[in-house]
Amino acid sequence: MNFLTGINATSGALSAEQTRMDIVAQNIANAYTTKDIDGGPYKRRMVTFESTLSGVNKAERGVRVGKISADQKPGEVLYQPGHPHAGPDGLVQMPNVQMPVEMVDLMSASRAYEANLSVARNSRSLALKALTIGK
Amino acid sequence: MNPLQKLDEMAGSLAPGMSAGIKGPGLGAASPSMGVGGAMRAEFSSFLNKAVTEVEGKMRAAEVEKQKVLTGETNNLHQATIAASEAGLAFSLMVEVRNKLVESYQEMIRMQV
Repeated sequence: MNFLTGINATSGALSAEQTRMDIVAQNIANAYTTKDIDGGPYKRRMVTFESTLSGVNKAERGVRVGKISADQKPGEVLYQPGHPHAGPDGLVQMPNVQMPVEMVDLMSASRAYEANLSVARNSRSLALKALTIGK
Repeated sequence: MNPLQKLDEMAGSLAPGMSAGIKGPGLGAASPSMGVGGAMRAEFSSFLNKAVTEVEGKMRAAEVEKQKVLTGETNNLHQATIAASEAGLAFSLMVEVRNKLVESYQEMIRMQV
């Protein structure tokens, strides 16, 4: 008995978008981190989604977070001789996080989240409308 | 006594009366139709029981999801709300079915003899 049609896919998409927002938050938080766990500057992470089989219907596809991979593009290099992480030539390798890119990512993730929420809301109101048939 | 069980019995006893009316006039026709009513009652009661159990299961699932969010086990707020709204819908459907049953019973009561 499932009243909310397509809710499995929507629920998975909401989780995936939440992860995407978490990763954007992580990127923004580490925008000036010059020393990651591996020693180098922080590399911005990217989220990829992949579809899954969801529900009994074979044609139905859900979504989940696939891989969270690091962006290997080099960041900018600043000349700051006094910086603790500067090399012998006084150059500091900064992370490759670009604020405008992250903000756009954040916007698109939150809009996608909202879109999935309206799908959920819509399917609920459809089910409620169906209940009024007998009245 | 479980009110739903009462309702269920009511629905079961309403049906044979109807079939007796169709078969023919008089009280004699009422006794053979009792067997039909009994079978129908059992079937309907198991159906109703299944439905109520399912609604209860949904409510329990919603409760578990809510607990998980409140205790910080997960941060899937949407899953908790989806489960809650699904449970709410299932409950409204159950109430709707119950209202229909009561309505049909009252319709019978109002019938002129």
